[in-house]
Amino acid sequence: MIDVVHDTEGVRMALEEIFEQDLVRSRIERESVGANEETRERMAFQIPPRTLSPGYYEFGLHLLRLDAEQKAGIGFTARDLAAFEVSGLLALARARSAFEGRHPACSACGARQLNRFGVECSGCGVKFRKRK
Amino acid sequence: MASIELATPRVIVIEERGKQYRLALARIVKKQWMRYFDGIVSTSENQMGKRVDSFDSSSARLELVETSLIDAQGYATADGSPITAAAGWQALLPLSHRLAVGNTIVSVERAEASNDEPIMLGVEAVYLNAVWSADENGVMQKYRGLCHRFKTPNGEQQRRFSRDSSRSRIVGGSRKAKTLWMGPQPTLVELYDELIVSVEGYQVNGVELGADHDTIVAEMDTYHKVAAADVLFSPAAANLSEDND
Repeated sequence: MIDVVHDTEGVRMALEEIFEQDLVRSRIERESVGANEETRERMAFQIPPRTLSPGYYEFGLHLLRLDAEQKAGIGFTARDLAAFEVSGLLALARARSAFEGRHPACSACGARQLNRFGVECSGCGVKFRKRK
Repeated sequence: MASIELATPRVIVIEERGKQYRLALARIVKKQWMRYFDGIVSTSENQMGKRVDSFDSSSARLELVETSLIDAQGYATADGSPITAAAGWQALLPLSHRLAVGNTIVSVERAEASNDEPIMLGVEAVYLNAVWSADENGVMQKYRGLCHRFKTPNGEQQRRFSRDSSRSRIVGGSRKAKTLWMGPQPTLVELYDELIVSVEGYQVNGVELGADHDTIVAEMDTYHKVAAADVLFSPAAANLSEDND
């Protein structure tokens, strides 16, 4: 039996999947403006499936809520958190860092790119400069 | 508004083929409810990328009923003796009757606030409808608009609920296996006791619980505490009906 909150590697993997799903979902939302229901349903198949047991995602969402509160400036210290929440927040930082490395943000509009090799922004269309 | 009398035994009346059966339950204390919550098997798993949830409380409910029954009337025995004279008589009752009693004692649902209820600042009201006990005529009565008023939860209390409702274990040896939810009910009971301000529709020995915090904490039915606190903390997701087990 695995206690989800203590399996930080599993939690990190679930968080990365959540980020990847959100990225695809937001791209679909952008691209499906004006599309009919059938097209939307077909596009939804592009969302990568979840591969882990649901408990990992639920705890991941709890960590995202904690993280959002911290980012909003709602003050609470490590003393207010359970040890497994502190480990979970560190796993969240690792997951986010890996995700952001795979999907750099456009310096013009901030939109995350599908990969690091695009020549123009998938959001605003600005051309990327090639590194010399 | 009629009030639920918490101190007296609950009488559940079942009608079957024109005959009435009366089953009396002793007051169900917190320890028994906690054992019931502990016995609920709530699981989720991914099937073809989709989350599939399952919920089974019937075994725990049957156990709770069998440990709470103190009397049964309307049943016949071979030698004419009262059914309660037999050892372990509770388990001899028809399964359908025990299940019906179990369904009745967890028959608590969220209710909407009435339009004439004023908004009270700093206080959040939760309303429940519940079946409790039969009246003198053997008619099961549904109590409507049972009111629980809470202090507004603070950030720490909201975080505690979020943490404990997201806790789970994975059974089956791999990260892809089944999630077994640990359940937030003990936390909901704690939060109820911390936040409750007043109630309407509940009495003990004829005296309304009203706004007496210590008496509410001591006397309120634990299942109603969980139901009310669940509505307070997850208003959008509240669904207390267990009819679809």
